[in-house]
Amino acid sequence: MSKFVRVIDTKRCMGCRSCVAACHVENHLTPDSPWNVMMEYEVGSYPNVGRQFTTMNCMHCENPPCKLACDAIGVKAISKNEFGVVLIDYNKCIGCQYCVATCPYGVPQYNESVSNLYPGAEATPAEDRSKGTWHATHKKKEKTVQKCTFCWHKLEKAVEKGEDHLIGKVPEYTPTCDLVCPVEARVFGDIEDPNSAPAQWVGRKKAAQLKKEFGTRPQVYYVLEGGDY
Amino acid sequence: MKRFTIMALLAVGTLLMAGTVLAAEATDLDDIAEGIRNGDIDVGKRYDMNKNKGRYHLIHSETIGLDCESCHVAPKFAPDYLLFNKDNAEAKATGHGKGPKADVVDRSVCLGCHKTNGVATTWYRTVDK
Repeated sequence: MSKFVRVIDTKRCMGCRSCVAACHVENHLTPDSPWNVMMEYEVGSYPNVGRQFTTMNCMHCENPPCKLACDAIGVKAISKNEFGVVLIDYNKCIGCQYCVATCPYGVPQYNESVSNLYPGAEATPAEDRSKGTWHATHKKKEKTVQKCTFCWHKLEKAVEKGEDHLIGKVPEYTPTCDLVCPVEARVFGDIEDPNSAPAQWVGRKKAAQLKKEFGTRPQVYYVLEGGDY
Repeated sequence: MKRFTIMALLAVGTLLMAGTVLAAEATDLDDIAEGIRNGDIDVGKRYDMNKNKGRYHLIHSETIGLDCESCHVAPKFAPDYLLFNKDNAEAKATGHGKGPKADVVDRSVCLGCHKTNGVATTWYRTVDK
């Protein structure tokens, strides 16, 4: 069975934010609720200082605390499918924010309002969410929670066509953020395939999961300065 | 020798008392958690973050008796602390955002009770079942 993971090499990342911009365009950003952010901070002490960049999105945990919390209160708006993608059903979400409170990575974003691209102006034709062409994950609703979907609208097409073996290998079946990196600081694919780039990176570059103490077993790995811990 | 014996007895006594208090607290928390889960303790049916009426804050602040600072302790995180909504949290904490002190909880605060075999409902499967 395939298990899709993302590996982000923070040693290569130069903080250009191409992945952030690509996500915003691909997933129709609602400004207060980003799905992909760039963390930036300084390391070292003068004169030996450097700048560190780490892009963060949903970790699609194998033990997602957001789903456990959502299930525990009977809402069951969060699911984890057979490909390991954690998704939120906006029609079931009651906006309680229990998922926001439990996620150790601070990923789920409560959507207070779905604002237009240009504040104070009418929605542009491209923002018309009533159109049938919009994927369910993009039909964002007020007072619900949203987050990165591993670009499920793209992976789903591969599954529907029976081409899931091409996920992570061809652009139309790969999350957009992973396609645009100009320095190849991120890869996406099946970690169960020993020849895939993510499997190679996890082994060779000692990529690590963040905050292992929470037992969430994220499906996003990071190549960190200093290696695994 | 006599002084040593007295001191040893005092130390043992103190340890026993501390152990008894800790055990009592743990038992109390167990009972409270079970009471909430089976409905014996009424914390309402409103699932949201409202600090006066929502179950979340009623459980943690009213029923368990945690004060605000028990959780909302870190409006400023370390520079290399990787939390997706860190900037947003800090803006809110300093009053530049939508509300005071929202979102600023470091989830490690929750880990003690919400881990596997903790007193509260398990969110963090620190041990795989």
